[in-house]
Amino acid sequence: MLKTSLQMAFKVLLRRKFFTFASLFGISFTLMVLMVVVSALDHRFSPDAPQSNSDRMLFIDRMTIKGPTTESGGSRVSISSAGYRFLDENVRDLPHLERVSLYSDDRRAATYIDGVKHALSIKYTDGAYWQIFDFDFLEGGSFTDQDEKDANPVIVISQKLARKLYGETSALDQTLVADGTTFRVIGVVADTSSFQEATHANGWAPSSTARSQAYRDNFIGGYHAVILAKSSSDRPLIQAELQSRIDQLQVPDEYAWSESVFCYALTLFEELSADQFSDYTGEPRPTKLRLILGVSALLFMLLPSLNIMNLNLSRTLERSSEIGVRRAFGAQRSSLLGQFLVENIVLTLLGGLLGLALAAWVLHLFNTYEIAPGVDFGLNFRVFAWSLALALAFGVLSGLYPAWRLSRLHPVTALRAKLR
Amino acid sequence: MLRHVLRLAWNRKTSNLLILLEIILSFLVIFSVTAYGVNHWLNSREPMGYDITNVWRLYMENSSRDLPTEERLEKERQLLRAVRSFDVVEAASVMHYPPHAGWTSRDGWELGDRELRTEVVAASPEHPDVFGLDLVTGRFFEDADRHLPYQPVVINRHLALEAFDTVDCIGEAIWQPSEEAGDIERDEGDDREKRVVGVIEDFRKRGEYSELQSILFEPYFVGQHEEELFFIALKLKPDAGPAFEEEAHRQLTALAPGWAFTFSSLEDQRDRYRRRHLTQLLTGGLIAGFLILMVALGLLGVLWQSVTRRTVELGLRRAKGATAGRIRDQILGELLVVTLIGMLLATIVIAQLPLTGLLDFLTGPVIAWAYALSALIMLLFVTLSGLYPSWLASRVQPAVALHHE
Repeated sequence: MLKTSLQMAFKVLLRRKFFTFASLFGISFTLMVLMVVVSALDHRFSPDAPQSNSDRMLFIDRMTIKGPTTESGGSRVSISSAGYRFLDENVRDLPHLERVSLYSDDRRAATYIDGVKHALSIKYTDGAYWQIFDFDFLEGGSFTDQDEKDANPVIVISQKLARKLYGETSALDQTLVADGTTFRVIGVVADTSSFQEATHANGWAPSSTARSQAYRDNFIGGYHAVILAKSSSDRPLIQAELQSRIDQLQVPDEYAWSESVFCYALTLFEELSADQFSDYTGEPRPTKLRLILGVSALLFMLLPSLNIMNLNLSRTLERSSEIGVRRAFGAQRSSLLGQFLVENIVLTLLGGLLGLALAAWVLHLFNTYEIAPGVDFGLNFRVFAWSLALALAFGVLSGLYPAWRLSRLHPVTALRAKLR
Repeated sequence: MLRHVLRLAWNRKTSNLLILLEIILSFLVIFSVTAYGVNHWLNSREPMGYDITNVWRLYMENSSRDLPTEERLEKERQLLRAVRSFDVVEAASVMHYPPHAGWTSRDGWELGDRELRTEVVAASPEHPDVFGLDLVTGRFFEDADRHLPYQPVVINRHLALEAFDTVDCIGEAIWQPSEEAGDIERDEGDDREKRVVGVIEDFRKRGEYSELQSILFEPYFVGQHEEELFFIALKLKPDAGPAFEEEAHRQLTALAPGWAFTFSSLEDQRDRYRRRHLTQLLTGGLIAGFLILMVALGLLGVLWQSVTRRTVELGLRRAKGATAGRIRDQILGELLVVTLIGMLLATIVIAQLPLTGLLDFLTGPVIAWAYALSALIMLLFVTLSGLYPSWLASRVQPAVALHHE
């Protein structure tokens, strides 16, 4: 049955080439755009190096201190990254976790070689950072907690920076002067993407080597934490425990004006939702993000779907004798409905294939021209699966109504329709 | 003629309904993209209110927050003196925060029965030497201002009109400490009365594609201000290359260990800002363009099919004496009637948009331009997709059509 439907579908596609072309053009373009978006999202959440363990990770990136609301409705609010001291005291010993790493905001710095400036974006961190994230080391290795304790001036740099600074010669053991500190390069890692904030930088040095160590006393501002849970199902427990600690938190004297403190440990998806839709508290809104992504995809497919529906429906006449004959010989409406739906899905899948090829080309352009620093969008199995799902959804969305209309044609009317 | 075409369109209402929906959606898509583009275009024609030729900014990050205030202030004075002493520097001023830095400071309060919302910029008296000044009335800050019993402020035309309905507002108080209502996030602020000493032309700090905005300048006196010094704006001599950076960086780092310094050219920042916006526009335009092309192809197909189906009707009309031209006009006319109805319905939707208040860039001129442009594009592409089918219709031979029956 399905085989006949498939054969029919191809025959029909070849019959009117212009219609097939117009449909394929619309379908492939629509799916191409959706695939590019899916690929960008996948890149952000991807469980590939350096965040292979992303399903066990939680990130603390934001902290809010809010004062009491005045009569006029205003209130004093301080929003920033978290403070080292807060993280050190409240996050390190949370239950169910395997490791915690604290890393700084990206610190801008510059190094000059022969009068040419090279911009650095340095994260100051500890040894655990390198165990939580599995960076791809091209040369050398990382620093350890011991290096951090001893304030060993060592630095890990990105491949791109290594090339810029030292050309083809090995970067290992070269010196790098940044902000007045002379670092020794001990490792070179593959470039990281700006879509993955926790690992995006071009230099990584031990926290203790920062020029000023005042950050250690900060309650708010300057530091982030990444938590590696023992298993992904432990994450809600960790989140709940952090929440209860914050509820009992004793704020330092300088923030005596504070009424409430907000700080969340979030998964990558929750984090994106907080970035996009949260108010000052930074509370995640994952459901809203999911809803908005879904609704926008549907809205984007609406116009192309209408277009395909229109094209399909306008071929009623062409198909009417076929429908009439089949109905007259006893075909069920449902089998006709199935047939037309299959035809449309075959068409969509063909368009999806074309769209995939187009998307691969567009992504290649994006990567070549580096639309955002360090991004490397790709088509992998996950993207492919999502694309397939989207193509099927599109096929059903655009095929159901015309198929329903066609299958309802009365056999007598259908047979009487004039043919050319 | 019109009534006739309307009736014909009505007779085919089921198949026209889908076309109608398509037209409405396409028009909405075209309108949103053109409105976005028109908004950019109109804004880019407005004067900026400042000049950033050869202007750089120096971002200074003091990571030792625990420095006693007096020491910090002394350091800040030294740093500014050092920056001024560089050969290539023509003028240096403080601006919190400079354009394209991605930082803003906002404030809002009530003045009488008016709700004021404005961006607040702290600037030192040398500000006009670096950025130029487009003064309407009054003056900019002077060093002597630090001894005034009130806080002098300079506001732009937009804010002056919003607060006082006139730019002649020198000496007026724009904020008084007694009226603390609605005072948001002013933590380390000056609690003296703010009195207007100067009005400047509009000042679009957020960039050339941004809307007009309210802006209020407060004086910043280096070495006296409670707020830490973050940004120094530098006007360089025209012949200064980027090479000055390394030497300046070395000297500053030697002077103030524990501080991080970053130089960036505002012109570069502006170019990046432009590129980012143009990329967005281009992407939106391309996607909308492809959507429209797709709809055009679809319409072409649908009309083609419908002309084929209506051979008999069209042949009969030819036999009764209608010219080929009239047949062509009929087919195009039917399509245009549906298009116009669709555009009318879409217009009703568009008319609701400003009421929602979600898209604040939809001002009168933007809507007018965008509407005219998108209507033109819409009619053009619909006519284009109707040309071939209507030509096909006009070539139907009466004999063939009647024979067909």
